[in-house]
Amino acid sequence: MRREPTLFCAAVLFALSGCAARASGGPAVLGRDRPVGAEVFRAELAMVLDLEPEARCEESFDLRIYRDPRVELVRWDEQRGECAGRAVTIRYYAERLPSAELVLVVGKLVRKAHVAGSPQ
Amino acid sequence: MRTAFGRALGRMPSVAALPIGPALLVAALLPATAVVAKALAPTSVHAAEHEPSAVERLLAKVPSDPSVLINVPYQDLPASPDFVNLGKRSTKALERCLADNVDADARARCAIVLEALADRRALATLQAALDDWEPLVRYRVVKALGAVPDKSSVARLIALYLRKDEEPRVRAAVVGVLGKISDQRVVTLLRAELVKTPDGGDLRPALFDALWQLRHLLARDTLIDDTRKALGSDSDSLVLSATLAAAELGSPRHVAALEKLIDHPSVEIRNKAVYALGRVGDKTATKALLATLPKVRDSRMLNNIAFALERLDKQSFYVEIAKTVEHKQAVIRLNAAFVLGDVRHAEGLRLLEKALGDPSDFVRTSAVAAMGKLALSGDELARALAALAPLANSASVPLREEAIYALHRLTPGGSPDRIYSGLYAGLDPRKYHAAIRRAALALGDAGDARVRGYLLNCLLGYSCSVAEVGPYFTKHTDEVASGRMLLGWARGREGLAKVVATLRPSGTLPVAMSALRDAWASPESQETLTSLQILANLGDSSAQELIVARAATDRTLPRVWSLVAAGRLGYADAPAKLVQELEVIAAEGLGDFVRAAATIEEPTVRASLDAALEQKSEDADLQIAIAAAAIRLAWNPDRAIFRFLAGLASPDGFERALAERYLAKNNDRRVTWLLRRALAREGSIDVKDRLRAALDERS
Repeated sequence: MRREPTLFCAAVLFALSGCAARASGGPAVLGRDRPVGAEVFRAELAMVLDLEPEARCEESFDLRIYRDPRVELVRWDEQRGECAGRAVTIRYYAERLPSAELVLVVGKLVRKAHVAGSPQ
Repeated sequence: MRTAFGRALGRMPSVAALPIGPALLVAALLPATAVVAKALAPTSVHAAEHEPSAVERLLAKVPSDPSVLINVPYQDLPASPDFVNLGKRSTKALERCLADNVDADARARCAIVLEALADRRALATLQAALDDWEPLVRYRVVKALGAVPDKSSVARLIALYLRKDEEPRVRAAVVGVLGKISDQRVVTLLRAELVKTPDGGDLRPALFDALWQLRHLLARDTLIDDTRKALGSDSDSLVLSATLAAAELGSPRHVAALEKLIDHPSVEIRNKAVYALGRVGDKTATKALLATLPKVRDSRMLNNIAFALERLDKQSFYVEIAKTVEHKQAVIRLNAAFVLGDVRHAEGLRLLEKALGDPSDFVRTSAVAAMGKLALSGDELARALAALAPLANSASVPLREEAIYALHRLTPGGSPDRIYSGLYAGLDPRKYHAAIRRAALALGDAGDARVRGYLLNCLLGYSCSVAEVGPYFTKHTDEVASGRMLLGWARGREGLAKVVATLRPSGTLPVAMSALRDAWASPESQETLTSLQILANLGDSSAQELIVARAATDRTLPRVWSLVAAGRLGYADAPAKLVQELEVIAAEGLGDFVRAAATIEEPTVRASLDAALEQKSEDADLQIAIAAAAIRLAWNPDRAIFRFLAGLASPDGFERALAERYLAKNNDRRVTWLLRRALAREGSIDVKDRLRAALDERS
């Protein structure tokens, strides 16, 4: 069966760009924070983090992780001002960011991270 | 004999230590038995009928008769708050007053009220009144135009500013208003005027401030250059404004000018310059800042230096601070320890360990407090804990105190027992009242039940504020404390209303209804407003009828609070009535409206208002639009934040400023997180600056 070449190429390119976007996980092209539709599936991951010890460690972590557009919200515990042993719940777009990749992304930004409830 | 419960309550044996909650509550209610009976009876509130005064008759005509104020002299005019209370229903009459009343003071009064209303329908009248003969009226009209900034006003305002015979205060007011109107003609004028040598009154600070309001219309390089010139000005006010601008812009091109200001005679300018250097983050400033360290005389400056150094060159900072920690003057060693704590880096531990051996108790105390602030983990944390532990038994009380708090902060899970035994129970209350109070508050923060009695007495005895102690009692509830707080509120301690509304002790309903009836003749009193809030929180619909009756008041603020409360209790007409209020309320009252509506917690009431508020948040009247958005931000930050991001990026500087103002008023942590997300993803440098400033304000 003969495929329509233009359409086929476009489909391949679209798929590849999607794969690349999914694989990169890196900083998004900066524009403006936009709402994401309610139909996009969200999941949450609870973690305990030892952040880089610095004056605004919580904010510093947020500013880095939010560059990944697949992360929707980081909810922090009440231990404001502390950098070690911080409990967070990260809400993310699960179809775009597998939880295992999220753990890796977080791990690169902190001194120590483990998924809450899992063995350290 | 004290009960076990009483012993657990702690060191202040008192009635609070006895399980007499119900008795107390009865005691609280007894003096008001008659009032309670009245509250429980069917609603029958009657304000005393009286013959309306001339002013009241006049006010009654204002909404329907636009000409009613034309021939009223100043002394016969109703007071401004009475006009404001009518909201935008009084606009037409005020316009005619401004245009046709021959009494200049009356025209000025009407312009003042038009400013408070901020009704865009009055624009043409206000613009025409810029030609008023009286400077006082022109001044008030200019200010009123500032409440409804519009491009159609620009040409007339510029013409007024350029008139040689205009009074300085009118020209200064014009500059302030021009800063609210995003128009390139304004930018051109402001930049040209800024470089002129002042003759007469120096308007350069006002010109710069106005230009800063319009910074989104300037090229970045131009803005940086104008700010650099302002930093070198001979006007202290202008320099101060420029240091604030430099802090937000973060340009290395300002470093040289800012360094020169570190020694400025004005303490404000010195501090702001150091802060700005930190924000710029250029390493070349490190040396100048470190050289300042030995000369510092106040802790705010020290904080700013620490803030700046943290962002600059950490390596050279630690080389230099190591010398300062060993300075021959104790006060400088003390300052150095303070800075090391403020910077919080673990690298400071080694130097602070050294400082713990200092011969001066002051330096050692400062070093201990600083160590408690460090962000430590693993071996470094163990080292710090080991160094601090012996000091928790020091004979010097200040040293012991700081050591115990440092240990509490650094120990995972805290160490409340050490605070309890070493400070709270271990100090003589006659000599160390303040230290014991601090210990009790710290234990309260840790949720320690042993200080419950102390904290309750401290609160009810006005020695602790509601902000300090309230959260403890809302987290750790008990009937005795709740009952006494209800009693305190009923006796006039209005600050307790929020805690009472949260705790809802038994007996609250009749007491709050009685309070509302008791204050019927004073609808704007705190007693009325807090009663409404408490009754709304109780969720008991038996109060609805009384509250709906209260909503019939002619005073706007209690009417809004009543509608909010009635809506929360199920009054179906409340949402539509609230939307009507939003349309006519004076702009000056929008903040109160937002505060009231934000308290609505019931999902059904929110849902019935949300669509209208979403629509209003795009209203052409920006004050209404952003106020509506602010209510939604309080209810659902995740959804409403985007209206604020659009506001911060608006081509209209006034909208940007409104968005900033309402964001600053919302203290929800979730909003902080959303602002961080927005900052991380923002592409516009100007919006980034504003987000950064908003976050700095919240930290």
